[in-house]
Amino acid sequence: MSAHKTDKRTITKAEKARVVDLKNPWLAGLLAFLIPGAGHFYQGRVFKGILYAGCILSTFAFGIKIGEGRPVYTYYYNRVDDKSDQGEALSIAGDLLVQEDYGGVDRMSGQPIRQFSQRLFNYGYLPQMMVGLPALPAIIQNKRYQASLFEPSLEFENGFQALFEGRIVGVDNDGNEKMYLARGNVKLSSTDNDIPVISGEFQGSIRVEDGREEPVTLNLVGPAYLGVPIFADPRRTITALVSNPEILRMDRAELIGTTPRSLINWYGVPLEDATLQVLNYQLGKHWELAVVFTWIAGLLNVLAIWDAFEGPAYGRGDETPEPEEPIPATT
Amino acid sequence: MNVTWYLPPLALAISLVYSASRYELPQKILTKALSLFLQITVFMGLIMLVLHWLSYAL
Repeated sequence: MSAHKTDKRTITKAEKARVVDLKNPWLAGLLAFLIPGAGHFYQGRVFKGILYAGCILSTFAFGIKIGEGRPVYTYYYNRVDDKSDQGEALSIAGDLLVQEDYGGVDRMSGQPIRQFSQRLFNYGYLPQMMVGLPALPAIIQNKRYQASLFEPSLEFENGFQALFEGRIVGVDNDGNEKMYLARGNVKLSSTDNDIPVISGEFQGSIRVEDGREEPVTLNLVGPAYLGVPIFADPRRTITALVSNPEILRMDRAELIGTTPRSLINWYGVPLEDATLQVLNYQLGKHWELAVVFTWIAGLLNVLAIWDAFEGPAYGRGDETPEPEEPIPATT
Repeated sequence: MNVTWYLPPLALAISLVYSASRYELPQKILTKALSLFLQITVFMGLIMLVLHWLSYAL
């Protein structure tokens, strides 16, 4: 008891100033989890807040950049042909979902395309998740992606309009294949009949043989194809037939390209096996590094969360070393 | 750009965050971070030299 009192009495002002004020450690920990550095800003530890936010968020952002925005996802979906033996085997295993592919309906036949898909958890998401808000949308995106698989796309019915980038491919009057790069605005809509008829327009420019851009307006008809609204790709595939190819001096022509997909519809969305393979093929080791950078960012934030909750592991760093206890002389 | 250049900034970020989780004073954090960064860099450099030597003329 007396020793305790003595300890209290001997705490000087300088020593008191050395105690790190953690305020509410639980709140600080939660803030540090949600936004790296935020817990430290709340505690008034500005230098460390800036350091954590700068280092962790830049590491995460760099990973996202070199992985073209797609290293963070909760699940990946392995598509399996429902007629194959593998499909049956997986069906028995009960780890399958019945899905409708790409907007649910084959626009040629009007029939839904059904496929089995195996859903596998991405364990790499666990460290990524520790970065907090930048990685958490992936959980919601998985729900949205799953829900979108069962919803028929009504975008043509409601009138679809977007910026287009791609090409016009076809055959000229002599039977030779021709291709023009094209960019502009594409509109497609569908009539509300028993057999939907798709029609629309492309207004923009094409690049002709000598490199000049030439303005062009093309009429479009079905069969047309539009990629699913929620998918892990910033670009969305679109195709349609051109009904007036003669203005391009062509016999028949098709518009093939992409339109932008809004960030909310592709960031953190689960990857499909085929997409994962394409990313591995296109980005190579950059894809692996992108994933590793986002893991490291999440793991570094674990240190930051703990520091916000518990304070620095070794103290402030200016403590005077305790004098060693004299070894009692033995007689 | 060669991916090896990605590693020094990563090592720096790891050093800074690790040291910041150990100490509170900026001066101490920066000194310790620099020391750790140099250790990591030298260690990785040595590993790279060994790998280079092993793969020489392959």
